[in-house]
Amino acid sequence: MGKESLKPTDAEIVSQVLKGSVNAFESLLIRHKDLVLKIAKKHVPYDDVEETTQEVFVRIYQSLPTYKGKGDFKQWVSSISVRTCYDYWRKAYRSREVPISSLTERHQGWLEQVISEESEHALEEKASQKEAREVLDWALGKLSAEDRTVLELVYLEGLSVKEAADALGWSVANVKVRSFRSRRKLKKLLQGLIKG
Amino acid sequence: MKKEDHLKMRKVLTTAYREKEKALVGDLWQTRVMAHIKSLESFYPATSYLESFERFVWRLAPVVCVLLLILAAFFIHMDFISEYEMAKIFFEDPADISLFQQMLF
Repeated sequence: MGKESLKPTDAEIVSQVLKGSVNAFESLLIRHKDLVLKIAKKHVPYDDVEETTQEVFVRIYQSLPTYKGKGDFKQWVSSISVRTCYDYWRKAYRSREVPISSLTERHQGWLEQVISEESEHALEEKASQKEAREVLDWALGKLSAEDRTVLELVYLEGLSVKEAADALGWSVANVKVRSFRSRRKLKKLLQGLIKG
Repeated sequence: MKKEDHLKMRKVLTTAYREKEKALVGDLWQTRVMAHIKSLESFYPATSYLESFERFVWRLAPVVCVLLLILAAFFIHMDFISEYEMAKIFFEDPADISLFQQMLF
């Protein structure tokens, strides 16, 4: 108990950094790097995780003066992380750098097998196969940056519409509509894949 | 696609999505991020009053220079002589003074 209570809070470290102690920022980085990395790994391609997380921490550092110290710092950090990942995809779509993967009959067969599977264990096995990742990447690549981000947050991560709206800084209605549309698009894409 | 098929698809895709978390980053990542942060220009307020004053003076310097240039241009173009002559005529000509007095009273 003693050791824990001696640790400075996030707000205290923020105020140290704001007074000019840049080195104090490292404590924030150590505390929250796992959270930031976890978010970035899920949202951006492996090759760009390091660069994106660096961008996240630069944004956190530059936004520190706007942190009011009232809300949860962790939540504030995750919100910046999600927005940075969203910006990554916006930039990628704008510069047309989204890798467009093509699927083969192997993927189609994999999808059909998934549908015909009955046991939970078999489904988990299917999920660990690389086809799962490739089908997911292919489907996400067909969506816009907005639809993709909302689908990832609500459909794949299981966040509530309110939580996703808070993370992205959008209205609840906007997230709700986007979530509905993106789900429908995903369903259509998968149906199209099965039909060949 | 049936509802239960869709649920199966969702389960598989969600699991595949979560698998991504297991990716590893390089050992030097943290050092690189901190080095980048330290290389950023400090935008935080200066700690000493002298430093703040110095920054304030330098920020104000271009404004003062522009103001001085405008004032200099104004005084160069101002016609001092004609105004002086007008004042002289006004005070030397008694007819004008009486006219002025009539206007006043």
